[in-house]
Amino acid sequence: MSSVLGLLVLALISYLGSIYIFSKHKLPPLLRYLFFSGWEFMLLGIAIGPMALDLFPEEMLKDMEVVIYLGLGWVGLLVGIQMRFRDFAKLDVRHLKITVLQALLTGLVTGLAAYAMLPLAKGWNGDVTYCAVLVTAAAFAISSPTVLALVRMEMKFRERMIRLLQVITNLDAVVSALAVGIAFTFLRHDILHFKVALAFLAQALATGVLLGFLFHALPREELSEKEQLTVMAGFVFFSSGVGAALNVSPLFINLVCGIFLANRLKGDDRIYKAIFHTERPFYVIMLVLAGMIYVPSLFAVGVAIALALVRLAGKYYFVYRLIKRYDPGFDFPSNGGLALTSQGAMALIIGFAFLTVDHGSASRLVFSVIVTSMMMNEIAAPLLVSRTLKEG
Amino acid sequence: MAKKLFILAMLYFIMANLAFFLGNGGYSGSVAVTIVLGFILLSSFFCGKITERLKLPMLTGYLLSGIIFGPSVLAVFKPQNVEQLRLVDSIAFGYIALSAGGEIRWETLARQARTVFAVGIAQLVFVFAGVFAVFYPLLKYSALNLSFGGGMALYAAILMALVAVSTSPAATVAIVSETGSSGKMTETTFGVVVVGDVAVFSLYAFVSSWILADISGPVGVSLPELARSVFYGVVVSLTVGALLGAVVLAYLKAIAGEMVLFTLGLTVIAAVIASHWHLNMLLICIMVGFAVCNFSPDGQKFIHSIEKGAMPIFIIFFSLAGAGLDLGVIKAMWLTALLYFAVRFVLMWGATTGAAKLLRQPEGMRKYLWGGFISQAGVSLGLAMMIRSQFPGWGEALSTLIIAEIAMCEIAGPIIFKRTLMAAGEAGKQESSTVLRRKPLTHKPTA
Repeated sequence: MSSVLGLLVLALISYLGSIYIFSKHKLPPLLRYLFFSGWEFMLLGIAIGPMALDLFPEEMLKDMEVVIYLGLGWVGLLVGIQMRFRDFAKLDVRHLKITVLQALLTGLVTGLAAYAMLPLAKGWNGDVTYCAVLVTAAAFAISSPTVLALVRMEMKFRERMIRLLQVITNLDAVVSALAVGIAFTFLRHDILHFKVALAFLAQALATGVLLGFLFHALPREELSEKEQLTVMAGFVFFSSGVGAALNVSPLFINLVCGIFLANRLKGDDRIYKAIFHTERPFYVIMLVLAGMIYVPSLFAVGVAIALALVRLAGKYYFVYRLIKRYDPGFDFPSNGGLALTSQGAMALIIGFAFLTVDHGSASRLVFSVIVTSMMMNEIAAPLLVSRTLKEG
Repeated sequence: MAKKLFILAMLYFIMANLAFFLGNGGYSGSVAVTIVLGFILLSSFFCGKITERLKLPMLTGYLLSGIIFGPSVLAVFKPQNVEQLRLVDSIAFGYIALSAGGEIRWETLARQARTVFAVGIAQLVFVFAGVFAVFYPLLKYSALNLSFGGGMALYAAILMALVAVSTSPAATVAIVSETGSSGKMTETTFGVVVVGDVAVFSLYAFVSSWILADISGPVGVSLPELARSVFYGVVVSLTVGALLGAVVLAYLKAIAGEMVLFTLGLTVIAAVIASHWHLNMLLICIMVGFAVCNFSPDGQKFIHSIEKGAMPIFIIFFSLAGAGLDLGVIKAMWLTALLYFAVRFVLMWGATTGAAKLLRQPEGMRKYLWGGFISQAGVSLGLAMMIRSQFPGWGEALSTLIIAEIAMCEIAGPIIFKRTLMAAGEAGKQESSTVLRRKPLTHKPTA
């Protein structure tokens, strides 16, 4: 009870803090971007967590697992429900290639770097190496559309370039989340039990699709907005729990469910709107929790800095090469990849997902690496994004 | 209807499949809580929709869903899952009490004070006296399949009589919300339910302390001392509620954002305070709701935020109440429980109708007011649980009997209340659409 109370109070304090900052002070643009990314919530988490004031015991995470599952499921559904195949069909194939390849290649180089560095950690559990590397690669391949959207609100840029960047930032999250779901299936079922792992994966996919089908079968037109929200909460709880029970993470199963729904709900975006409007409390709570769980050892910070640099170089180089190879049809700045600096909350969500399936020190290390890198990227992103876009 | 049954069947299929797939280990801890919470929300919602189609309250569907899928019948979720969700249950209880307090308007209470207090006192006196008069001899001479040694029959009869007076604020809020009811009968029902339950809680604190003191012999506490401590408990609970209400008012004035989150936080704070200082959570939350809605023009914002999050809360609360019912126990005690239910029913009807007639209330009130007081749920269950824990041995048998009777009230009460509201012409009269109402109900005003 006290941990739930603590978290609710924290969320409220965080909310009040953000209102105060936005309403009472005219912050310079760069600082404003930083606050929009939710930095202050994470700092608050750090301040009251074991690292500073130690107001909350270690058992906190255990108590809060339900909230984490729900948050993961909510995000999975939110990302999945935006993935309409018919929208992809409208996209320029060259843009799609650039999007998918830059994510895969950046993931590959950061994954390789992580593979070289993570096992050097003291007491590293070798059994989870592949999974940890895949999770790290997925979290580092991601870029966030938030800073892009905020910079765009303040300045005028060329629409076509912005649109391509938005496609990239929206799609690489899906690629990463799917990769993570598959990675988790194999975490507990190594290559010797390939068939068992495959059965779990098939079961998770089938459940995701079945839940999507059930949701689709709902007599939605008969339900009021509040009833829809109740049913949706029920679905997210249920599917998140099923995902966690099957070891594929709530993120994955809800992503599958969301993708199914996105392609069956023709033109009906009420569900998306309802999920979108209730996203903020989850986001705030996840950020505060992230700050509390964060344990930045010297090793973790070192790995984070190295991986962030590899990621930045990867984004810069691969986007540059891919633009050269697949001409997007308009002038794209050679340093356009730097506009993808922001890592965003999705990376954090992937880190949380790993924490829920692996309770050892490996997931804590990976989580700390992701949080450190995310904080660094959020500081650098507004500057790099606005400069890159201006040059473009 | 077929679609809803299909969805329920699919949900059950997924749960059964999951249990089969995961084998004996199954799932536990947070994973179990997450799945069960989701399953309860969905299955109960669709059961509620089915009962709504059958012209029964949705709340009945929530209860039935808890019974059918709970440990007693299909055992989709286990008793330990129900226990794990007790935290949600207690938050739900506070949330419902906030809502009940918010429904009571000072001016309405002042206007209806005579009726509210007269009906409340009539219920307290006649239901208490009637149940005691019927059951004391039966318990004393072991005429029932229950036997209480020594002087325990007296205590048991007193406790049974006291629990019989309690009603259900949760069922009242849920049915009024669902039917969008408004009017004199609705207002009076709210007033009597809240005032009555406050009185029952206070009396229970007094009576239970007295019984404990009496059992323990000469070292026990004196009656005036007991009365004083109970009185302080009530006053302190109400004062804490008023203070929390002031905090809510300040928040509404200064910020008034993220209200659902805020209300949820407030309920948890009330639960923590109540448990830490041994205060009454029901009284605290009722007072908060009452203070906010009566002393601030922004009270409506608060009520709306409660309504926004109320549906899942009702679903969880009533499904868990249904799941908590042990059908084996009810089967073993059904005859005695049925007698208890029937006696309470008749006395509640007689006391309420008699008081309404004496007060020369309109015909609708005289004929239908009683319908709001048949339900028993959280408050009564809470009392039954306290009896079980405070009086080991005979308290356990008594609590089992009370729970079996509550099961009957849980099923019959909401149906009766909905019917009487419709018959009195108060259903569907609320201006602003409330949580559970979607379309106006067809009803024949008779009052």
